[in-house]
Amino acid sequence: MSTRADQAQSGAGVFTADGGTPAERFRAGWRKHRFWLLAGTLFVAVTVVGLVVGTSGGQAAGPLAVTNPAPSGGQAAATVLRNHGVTVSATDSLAATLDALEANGPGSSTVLLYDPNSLLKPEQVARLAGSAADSGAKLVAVAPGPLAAKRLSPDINSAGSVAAGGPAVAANCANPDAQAAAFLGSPAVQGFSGGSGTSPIRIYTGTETCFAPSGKPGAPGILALNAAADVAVLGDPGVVSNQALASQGNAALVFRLLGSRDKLLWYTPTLKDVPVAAQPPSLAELTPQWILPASAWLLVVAVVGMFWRGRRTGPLVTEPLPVLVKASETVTGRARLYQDAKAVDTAARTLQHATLTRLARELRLGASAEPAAVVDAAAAHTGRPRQELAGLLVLSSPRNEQEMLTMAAQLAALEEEIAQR
Amino acid sequence: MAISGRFFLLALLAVVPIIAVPAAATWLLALTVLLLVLVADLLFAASPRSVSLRRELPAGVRLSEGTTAVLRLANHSPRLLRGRVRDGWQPSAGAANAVQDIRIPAGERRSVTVSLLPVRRGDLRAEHVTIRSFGPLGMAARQATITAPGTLRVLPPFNSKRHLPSKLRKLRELDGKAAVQIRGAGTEFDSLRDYVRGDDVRSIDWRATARRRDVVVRTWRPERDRRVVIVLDTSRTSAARIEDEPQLDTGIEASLLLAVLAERGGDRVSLIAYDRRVRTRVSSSGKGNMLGAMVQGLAPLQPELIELDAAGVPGQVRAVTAHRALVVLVTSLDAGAAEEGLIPLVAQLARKHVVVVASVRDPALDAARLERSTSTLAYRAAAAEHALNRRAAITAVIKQLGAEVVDAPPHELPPELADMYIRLKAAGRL
Repeated sequence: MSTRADQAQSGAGVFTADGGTPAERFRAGWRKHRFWLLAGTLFVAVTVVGLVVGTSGGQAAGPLAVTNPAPSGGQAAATVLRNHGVTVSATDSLAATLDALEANGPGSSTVLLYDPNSLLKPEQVARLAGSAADSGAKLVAVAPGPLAAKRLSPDINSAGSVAAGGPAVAANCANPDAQAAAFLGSPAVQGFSGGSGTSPIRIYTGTETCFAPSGKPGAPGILALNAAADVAVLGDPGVVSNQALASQGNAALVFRLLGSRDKLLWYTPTLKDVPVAAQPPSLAELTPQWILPASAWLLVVAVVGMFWRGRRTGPLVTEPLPVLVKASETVTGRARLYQDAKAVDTAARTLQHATLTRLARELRLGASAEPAAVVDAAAAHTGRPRQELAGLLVLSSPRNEQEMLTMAAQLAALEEEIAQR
Repeated sequence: MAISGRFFLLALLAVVPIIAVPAAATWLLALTVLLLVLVADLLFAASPRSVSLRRELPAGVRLSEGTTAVLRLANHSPRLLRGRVRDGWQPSAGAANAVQDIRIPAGERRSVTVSLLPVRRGDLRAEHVTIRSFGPLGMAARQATITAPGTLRVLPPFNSKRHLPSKLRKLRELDGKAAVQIRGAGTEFDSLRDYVRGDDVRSIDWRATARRRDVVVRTWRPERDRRVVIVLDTSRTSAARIEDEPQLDTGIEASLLLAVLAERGGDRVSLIAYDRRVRTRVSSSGKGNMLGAMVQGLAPLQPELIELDAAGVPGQVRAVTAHRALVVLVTSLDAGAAEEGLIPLVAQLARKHVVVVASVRDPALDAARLERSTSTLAYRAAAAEHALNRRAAITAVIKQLGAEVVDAPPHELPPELADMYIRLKAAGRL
């Protein structure tokens, strides 16, 4: 039957590749995969743009950073100061700050120190204060800790803190800068303690103390100055922040404190200031140098491997599957219906009826024999009492599954008994 | 485009210089070398699109019998084609070596032999041929898929053929051709011959004996040239699977055996596969190989998920023959479908024809009714008894209408249907 029908099939023709010129094929491929190509390109473009925008804007996320436009940033103050001719330069390490101080020359610098995480050790703070004093620079520390405040100037002492977001505080002192500001106040600025929440306002006592929240002259205040008035401590970082700079007299105080010299060093300590010995060696220092390029290359190799194994030889061929249903499904379904409905009665009657029909055939009574006749014949055949068989075959209707089960077994046994004789 | 394992190994080996000299330059150099190898291999590979194909397929193959399909490839490109060819057969064609390596020098031809072992009856398709052409380094390949449709017709296995010799012997016994002579076989007068000792005295033709000196007996032969119309139901009930075989396939087996037997018995056989329209119609009145035409016609049949149009069947039978015929309905006796369609149909057909209803009986029912050990099984037994009761009732109704019923498990249906035919023929009811 497998004779080769060469004549019949060979005339059917020669198959060649379709699609024509490469340009036509390209267009066809483009039409076919257009959606996914466009979607993929869009995805890559959005990712790249997001990455570029997220990193290349030069925006730092830290509070009071000069490039941070967030409510807790310091970009507003820095920009206004720049616009008024002050050279603002941000530094992130003590060494850089000290170098810049030296380079700026004596008496021309203001140093802003903001160290919310207390990265600087007291000795380092003392060094900064010493250098600032040596070069005649003005030092403005924003919310320094108690130890740091002591080291900045022996005249200044920390006096605890008050909750942020209180009413505006009057100057209550003779300092001209404070007088110019008259009132200080900041709404609770978010972002000064680990992103959300507000930090309390620190208060200090100094040779000259201004803006005491208690309102009494001489009580601990937000602004404290030393005897020479070249070290100022400002307890509320919110005053310098973008959000609160414009409220009350904040701007006046900030610009007068920070803008009195030509050059402003905006120093926010970073991890660079932590002594090296104190840091555990980083993972990058422990691993060999080739790990990164080699693992990156293995990533490329993995992609190559996926393409090698994943590329199919040609499209899939589909298998048209015919619908086939197991024939006993209906019986199974009916059985489940009986069981779910606990249709003991119906099931029992069906079993009795079936047994009666088969017994009638077995005992040669014909298909239309009366049940009573079948019972009589069966009783005569087996010698069992007629009453018992009538009860089993006709009368009994089981009340629960157990009785039905017993009856089913008895019916089967009876059939077998009669069939064997 | 595709790459080989060799290219993957090359990429993997490039990690050695990267570890030796860990620098961005080494990394980029490795990448460049890889890309160069890729591009060079692709450029020097023969174009797979310049290959032309021809298929040579067998006209038909019986299910579960192996065969081979030949694919002839001609390389029209000016380069040697080293590559891999995949013949895109559908999975049930059972292509063992669908993917083969091949080398075709420029301008030459080669053939690829794919051995097939079909596991499904019907028309199996090969959609396309994919050619992957590697470059001289064996690193990268160009790949093209050429649409090259081909169809292999897988014929029904006709496993019931093994019953044919015994049934034919029975038929010949009727015919009086075999060594055993039995009287009463057939109803048509055949010829007169001289009495030999042993002949039944009842068959002596006294009138002819009176004309001659010798005693003459009449001989009889079975009726010949009767019409047998097999109606194969391909509606939704034929999609039921009984003992791992669809009811339709069992019906095909039974129809084939009956058709071959009836044709050898000298009758004219027609087969109609019908649900709401005619799927196949084969008649032995046409010239040529009846069995071949039948298996070719039955091969692509699939169960259709629609209800049988019972009212249309008498018209189809009338279209085949205007005379009295043996109409064999190969269908299902399941309740529901039968009451509305089958019983009126049988009633109508039985007025003019001899009707036989052949149906597959599910042995699972007989097994289920005897399993009564748990309550779940007892319910199942009751459901099975219910189904059998309904079946018995329908059978009784059909028999009352004067039709015959063959109700047998899948493996026994073909021989039992054949026996029914022989019985009817012996009784002279055709």
